[in-house]
Amino acid sequence: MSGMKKFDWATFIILTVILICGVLIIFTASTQKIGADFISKDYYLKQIVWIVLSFLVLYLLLKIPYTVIDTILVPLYIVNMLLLVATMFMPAINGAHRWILLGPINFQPSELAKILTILLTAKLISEPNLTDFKIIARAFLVTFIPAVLILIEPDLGTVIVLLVSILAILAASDLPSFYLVLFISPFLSVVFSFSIPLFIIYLLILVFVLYKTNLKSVVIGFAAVINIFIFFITPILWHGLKDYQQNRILTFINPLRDPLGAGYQIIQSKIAIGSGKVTGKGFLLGTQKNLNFLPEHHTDFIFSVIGEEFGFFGCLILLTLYFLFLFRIAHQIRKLKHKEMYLAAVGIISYIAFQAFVNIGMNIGLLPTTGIPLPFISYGGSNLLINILAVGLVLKYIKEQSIFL
Amino acid sequence: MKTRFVLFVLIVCVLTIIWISYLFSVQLLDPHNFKDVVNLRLHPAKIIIPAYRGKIFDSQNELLVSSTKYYQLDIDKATILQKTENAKATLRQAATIIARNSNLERNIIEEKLFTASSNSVYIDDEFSESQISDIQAEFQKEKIPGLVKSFSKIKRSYPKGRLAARLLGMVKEKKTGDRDSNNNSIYTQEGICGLEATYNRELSGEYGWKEVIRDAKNNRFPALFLHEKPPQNGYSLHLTIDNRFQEILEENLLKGLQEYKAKHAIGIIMQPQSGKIIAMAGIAASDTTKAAAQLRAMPNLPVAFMFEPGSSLKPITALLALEKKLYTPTQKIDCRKYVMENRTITDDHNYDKLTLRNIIAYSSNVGISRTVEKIGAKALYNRLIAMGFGHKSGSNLFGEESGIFRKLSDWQGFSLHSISFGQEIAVTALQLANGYCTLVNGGKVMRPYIVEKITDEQQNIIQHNSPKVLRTISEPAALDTLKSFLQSVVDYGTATGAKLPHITIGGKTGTAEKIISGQAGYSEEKYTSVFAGFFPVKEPQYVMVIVFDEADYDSYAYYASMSSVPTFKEVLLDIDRLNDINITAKAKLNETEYIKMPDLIGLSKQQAIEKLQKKNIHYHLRELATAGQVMNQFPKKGVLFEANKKVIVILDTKKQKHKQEYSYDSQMPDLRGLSIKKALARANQAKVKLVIKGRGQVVEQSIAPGNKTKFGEKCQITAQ
Repeated sequence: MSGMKKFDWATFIILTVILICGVLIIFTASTQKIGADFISKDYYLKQIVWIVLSFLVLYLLLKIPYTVIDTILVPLYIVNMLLLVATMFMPAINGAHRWILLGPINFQPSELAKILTILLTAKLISEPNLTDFKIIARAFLVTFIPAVLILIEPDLGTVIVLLVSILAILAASDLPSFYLVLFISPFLSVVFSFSIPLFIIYLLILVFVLYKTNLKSVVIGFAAVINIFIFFITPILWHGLKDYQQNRILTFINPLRDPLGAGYQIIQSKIAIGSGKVTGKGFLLGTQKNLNFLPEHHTDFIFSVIGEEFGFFGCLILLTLYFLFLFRIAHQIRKLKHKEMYLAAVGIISYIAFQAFVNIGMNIGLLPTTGIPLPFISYGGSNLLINILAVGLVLKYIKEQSIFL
Repeated sequence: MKTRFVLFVLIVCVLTIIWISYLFSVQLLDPHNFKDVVNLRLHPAKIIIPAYRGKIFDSQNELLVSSTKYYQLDIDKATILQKTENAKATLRQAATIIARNSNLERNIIEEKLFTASSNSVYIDDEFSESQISDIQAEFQKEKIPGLVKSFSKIKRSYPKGRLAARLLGMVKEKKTGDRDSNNNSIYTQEGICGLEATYNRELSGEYGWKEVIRDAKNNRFPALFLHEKPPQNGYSLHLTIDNRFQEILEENLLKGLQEYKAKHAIGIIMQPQSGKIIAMAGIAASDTTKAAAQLRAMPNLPVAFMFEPGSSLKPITALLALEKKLYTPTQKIDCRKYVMENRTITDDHNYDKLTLRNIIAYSSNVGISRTVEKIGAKALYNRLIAMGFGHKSGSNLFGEESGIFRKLSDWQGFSLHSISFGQEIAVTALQLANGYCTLVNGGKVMRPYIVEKITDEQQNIIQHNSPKVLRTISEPAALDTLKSFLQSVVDYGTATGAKLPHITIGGKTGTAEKIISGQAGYSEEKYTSVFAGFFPVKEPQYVMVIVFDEADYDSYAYYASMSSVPTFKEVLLDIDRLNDINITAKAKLNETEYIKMPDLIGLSKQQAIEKLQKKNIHYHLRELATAGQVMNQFPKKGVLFEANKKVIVILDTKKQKHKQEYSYDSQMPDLRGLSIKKALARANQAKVKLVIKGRGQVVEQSIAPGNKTKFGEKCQITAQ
């Protein structure tokens, strides 16, 4: 390999296009058009400022030597955990202690925690000659602390994003695949615990799969016992969930059970997207949005504005952009030889992909409302900065991998 | 490694495909028809603007009924708690403002505001337009948020209180649906009785609407394509009713009702020339205990209460006799007890022979029966039908009854006789009054009416009712004679109690035994007392009918001359006192041929002649003794008489007592041997009030005949 690899402009350009689309959509989402005149809020300007700021940080990130990042990672992680603890003593906004309020700037430590956890996990499990057990133990330890702290806030959505990203990293590591099955199985148990016959069938399939992977019968038995335990504990945990969380899940299953309450967002969002048809109602002309029927239409439910005003084609274009972006990054990551970088990049790309799909799924009513914003599109300064920073890291890996080979 | 990467790409691909296919189904196939859901959002809702119900005015442009809009006031407590720093103080301030601008107690409002658990606190729903706008202004000034105003109701208000309650009727609140939208709560008021019901369509008006689009936060969205239709307020009724007449009538009826212990008292005043109803009232004994709102739902007695008119129907037979010239003016008719095969017709007092005039004046049943036999059933039937008996008058009044009048073919043996003196026929007060209008206006059967005109808000006349002659009956000569007959009733007949020196009055009493329901025959203690009269006789301006139902038997109030006649007189006197009505003054003004008789009594022949010549009075001297002085004169002093008629002056030396007779202190007449009816008439003439004990013929009187009585003194008579 000869010297430094070039900066991956393709990814950057796709990202920029997505960001520009985002600004346009935030503009229309925060604008009420009545007749000839319209009232606009300045969210789109703030978003532009944040984008410029993020690009500056991205530039700096590319300039900073990788070793610096490597060195400050652990201290940063510790500081971040402390900040997560600090949020608990901050005043609640909408019933959650997620923000650190510093005058005009509101900062969500959980945003940064996701990236740092991904990076630290990637770093710790990429050390050579680790046993499977060690890999799992390290990943678990690094993830457990922020996951619990964020869960206390409470912010289930972020925890899920974090867990999925870590799972992706583990999947990308050399860990045998049955571990993954073991990891995922408790979550599936939770899902199937609502129906006894389904759970029994699921358990039988699980045991059969594990048996096929030539595992010791002790491990299989252990897995079965764990899953049965989860089956019994789930109803208890279910009652431990906050009312609004229960509602979110229940209304996801049947939005019409509470059309004015928890189901309201899902129904309105679906109506908005559904009424967009092939080409949408046109820029600025969404009635759901203009008549305030869509909640949070410049943040979590921004995709429904796209669906309403730009129709199926608009959605298709955005999904294509995401797909291209993810595919391009994935394609680049594949070439990464440095294991730590590779794992971190997989974590990051999973993190972004998962957010995008969950958000869109929630907007079109396929997934429950989780409060996860649409990456690069939704309005929100810190989230945007972290996302661009994360992509910046991947770009930095792609650019600088040769140095470490 | 490689397989896992492929797995990742695969997951992303699969998810993308799932998402896209789901989007495809939702957006392009649109199974839930979301497009229409959204279109519905832009489909404007209608806000209904209720119309004011029309007003009702009397002929003097006085407001009888109007409408007031009321608003409901709620306080959005949640907004106050959120948006104000010191919520408690603000709530207290809000309560103070509301209390200041309404008649609510401040403490009560405060308690409501503080204790309410819900976000929106209901204060009250009876704020008038001015109150609510004052409150709004003050809230704005003090920057208190959370004031929510909404239309609550329109209430009918009655500036004259109970006046004409039964006539005006009442309204009922109603919620109906809108034709064009699915708005199901349009507030309307529907007249359910009285004029409110008859003219409901004109009074109602039409509600307006305003299209409105609301966003999810229920704020109005100022879209450009919204339409609006202003409400069309109801038309106003201008009645022929004069509130002063109405008040006088109601007051006197109530007074009479209580004095005579009657069950019902009914009165109606009409203008005979036009058929306008100037006042109409009916009171039941229980009315005083009822609220005005209850009365409004009760029947309007002058059109809804039917009674046998009794003798008050006799003039119609007399009129037919006059038309046919059955008798000469001086011809006397046998009025002795009339015995037929199965029936005997008698009079209270036995008259041997009476002229037709006196048959009316003294109300002889026998006389009128003998007369009607010569007229025949068909003529009487046709005449009664022509005069409006037995069918509705066309007045369009709510609850009007048509009376009961059998078809000619259903008449039985004595129907002809009975009907001639007002039995076997039931009439309403309106029918009777309208009949008398015909008798005194030259034979025109008028359509009675009560609504002069209907106007819109800008006073444009929508409908104008003018007098309508339905048909004409009889001939002027006969009618004029009948009028003088009816004057005789008041002058010396059965209704002398109504006689006034300055206004000529004509009329006819009627005292009818009531039919006992469910039994054949008549009650002996239950009577309907009627007096139908008109004044002044020459050119009648008003026809008035006064009816007392079941007036007290023991105190003889059941005699029309004891109840209806005095009430008639009271009403007349009260009306005459009204500034612009003053019937006497009018008579003076437009009747130059009337001269007031000077006082000649006590003058010598020469002095009397001088005085008469000075006033241009034709005279006829009757000298009963030479060089006597004027002992008597006809007419009496102060009486108006027609200028072309001769007055009679009697000169005599003998001292006469005539002078005393017309002073306030009068002489007690001899009532012994008279029937009570007759005694009452005599006593009335002598201005003596009687307290009657027993019934039959008078055997004793507490003041000896010839003694002087003081004005208003009461004399007790005993009858057997």
